[in-house]
Amino acid sequence: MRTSEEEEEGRRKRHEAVTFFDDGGIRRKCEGLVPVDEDCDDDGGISAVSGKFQCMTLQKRQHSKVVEAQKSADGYGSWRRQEQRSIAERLGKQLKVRWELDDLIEEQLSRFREQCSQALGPARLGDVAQLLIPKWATPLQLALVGWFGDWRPTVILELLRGLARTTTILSDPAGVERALLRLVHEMRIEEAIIDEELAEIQATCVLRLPFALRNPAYSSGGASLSSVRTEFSKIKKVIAKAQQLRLKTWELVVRKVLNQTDAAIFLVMFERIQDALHQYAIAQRSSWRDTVTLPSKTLACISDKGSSGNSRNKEKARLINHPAVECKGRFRGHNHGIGGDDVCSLMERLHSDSEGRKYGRG
Amino acid sequence: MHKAVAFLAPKKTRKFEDFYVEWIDALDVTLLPVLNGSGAGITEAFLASHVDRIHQHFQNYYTALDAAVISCPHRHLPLLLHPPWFSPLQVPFLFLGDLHPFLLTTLLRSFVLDRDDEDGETDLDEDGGQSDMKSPPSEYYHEEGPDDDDDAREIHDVHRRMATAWKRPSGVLISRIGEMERWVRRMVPDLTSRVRVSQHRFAEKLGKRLDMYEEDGNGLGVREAAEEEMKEMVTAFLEGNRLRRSVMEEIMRATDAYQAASYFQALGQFIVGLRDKKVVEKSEQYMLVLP
Repeated sequence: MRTSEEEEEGRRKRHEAVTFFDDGGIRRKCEGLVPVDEDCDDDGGISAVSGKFQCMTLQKRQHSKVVEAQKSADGYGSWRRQEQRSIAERLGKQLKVRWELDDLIEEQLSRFREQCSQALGPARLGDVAQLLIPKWATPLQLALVGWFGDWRPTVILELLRGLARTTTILSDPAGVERALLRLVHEMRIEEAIIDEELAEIQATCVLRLPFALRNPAYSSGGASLSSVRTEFSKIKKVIAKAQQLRLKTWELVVRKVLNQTDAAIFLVMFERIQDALHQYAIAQRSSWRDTVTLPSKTLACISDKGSSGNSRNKEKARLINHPAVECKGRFRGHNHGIGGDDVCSLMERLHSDSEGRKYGRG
Repeated sequence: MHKAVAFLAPKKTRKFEDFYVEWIDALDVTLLPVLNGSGAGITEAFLASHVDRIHQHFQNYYTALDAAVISCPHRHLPLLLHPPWFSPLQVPFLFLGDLHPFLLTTLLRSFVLDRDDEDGETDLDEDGGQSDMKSPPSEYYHEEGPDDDDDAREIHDVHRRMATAWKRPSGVLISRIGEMERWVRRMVPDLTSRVRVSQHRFAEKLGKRLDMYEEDGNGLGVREAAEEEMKEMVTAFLEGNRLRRSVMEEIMRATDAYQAASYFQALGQFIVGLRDKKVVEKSEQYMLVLP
């Protein structure tokens, strides 16, 4: 990966080169022979200019080339120089456009870098929750593509894979697919490692936070709130890792997997997808109101269950007395407490909908 | 005791947020204090039924979560996965909308590990009169009232037995804890991969339709793809809850009333602690340093 100094140096050199083509003597020398429309100096006029150049070149070839050469060797040499210069000028303009594209892509990457640096910088403990559920993202967006508060890296890659598979927009879709195959695999492993790191903290917090009875320091009265800070610092570190992985994914996609044009195309497409998702989420939100409601049937069902402690007690007493017998069937029958209910049947339907991906023990 | 469930009397529909707040309150104000010692003088039978009640209280919560999601999956699931009503301390501990299942087994294992650690420290425990179950240790623990100290001096035998319940866990219990751990270890990666795969499928679908993009975004088929993905996510969410409630059921089966009581006491205290206003307000302003 290039450092920012190198990039800055590269940009400066490119600009110098372009300035040379723009202001140097070449064009002025060409003007006497090749009519250049002044209006075409803007980027939009490049094709018009090149069209005219082509016409001029053909004309020259047909009418004057041979004659001029025969007339004098000096004249022919001068014509060739002029032709080469005009081609160089066109190349210069095209390069300028490409470099500008490069700059735009770089600008987009630095925007991603900026987002990443938010997670890397110092933060208050209260900000951790906001990094995980940022205000700019709707819950629906987070559910659809989210991971640690932003796009899941492999989801970005899958989006690109989808684009490469069915459209003819990219210049080398087969190459992109090949490159993605390895990258997706690697990123999936990296994601899993980060997931595990968070899971470890989530699992052990019940022994470490100061209000946890199982915190060894709790009974001695030595548990202090500073352990909250320690745990949240660890969580923030994992969030920073996740952000870095996301940034790394973008840099690999834009710099390694895609060529310059394809990278620009993908960035444009990605922005469109984000827009479409956001619009969809907003539309859903306004039509649904932003709350979760509980159906009355459930409330009634819970209420019944809540007061039936004694009957369950008898059942439990039996279970405790015969642990070995009960051992055989454990984990298999899950009692959801809402058997025969609509909710229950709907749940069954949802489970069968999941195309047989049932758990062995489920 | 029926106070704990009185708020759950049938109504039409209600906001999940309100239900949750009352659920936490019932745990905090009605159910946990009995285990913490304010119910001095309780009998063993009462403790057993009280533990059942607490366990049922947790089961009710998962029943409510499931029902809320099923009643309107596309609308409710995103919010239940990222509940706006959770405190900043709770959010980082979310896994598919609730505590990580590993937490349940880690907590369980800690009781057995403690037993190993305490083998040489039995004296201290007897001197301390089961202080680990009793004493609210520091200034931030808001439950501490003026009467608590008096109660503490009159620890009933039931509480004494609760504190020593995990001293000599049976071999059967230890092996069942091991089984539970292995089971949860197997299930959790399955759940995370389900979520990941459904997100991937969604992204690939959108990617394939990118060339049909129109300015209004309709050409992408976001709605169809999103609804399809939500269906997958709902099953993962339900499975997550199912796993948590099964672990709790299994703990109830594997342990005796005293062991279960100390387990649910620790679990409940932790959940209530994550929402403790004093703790949240105080710690929110802490600056974090990267370790």
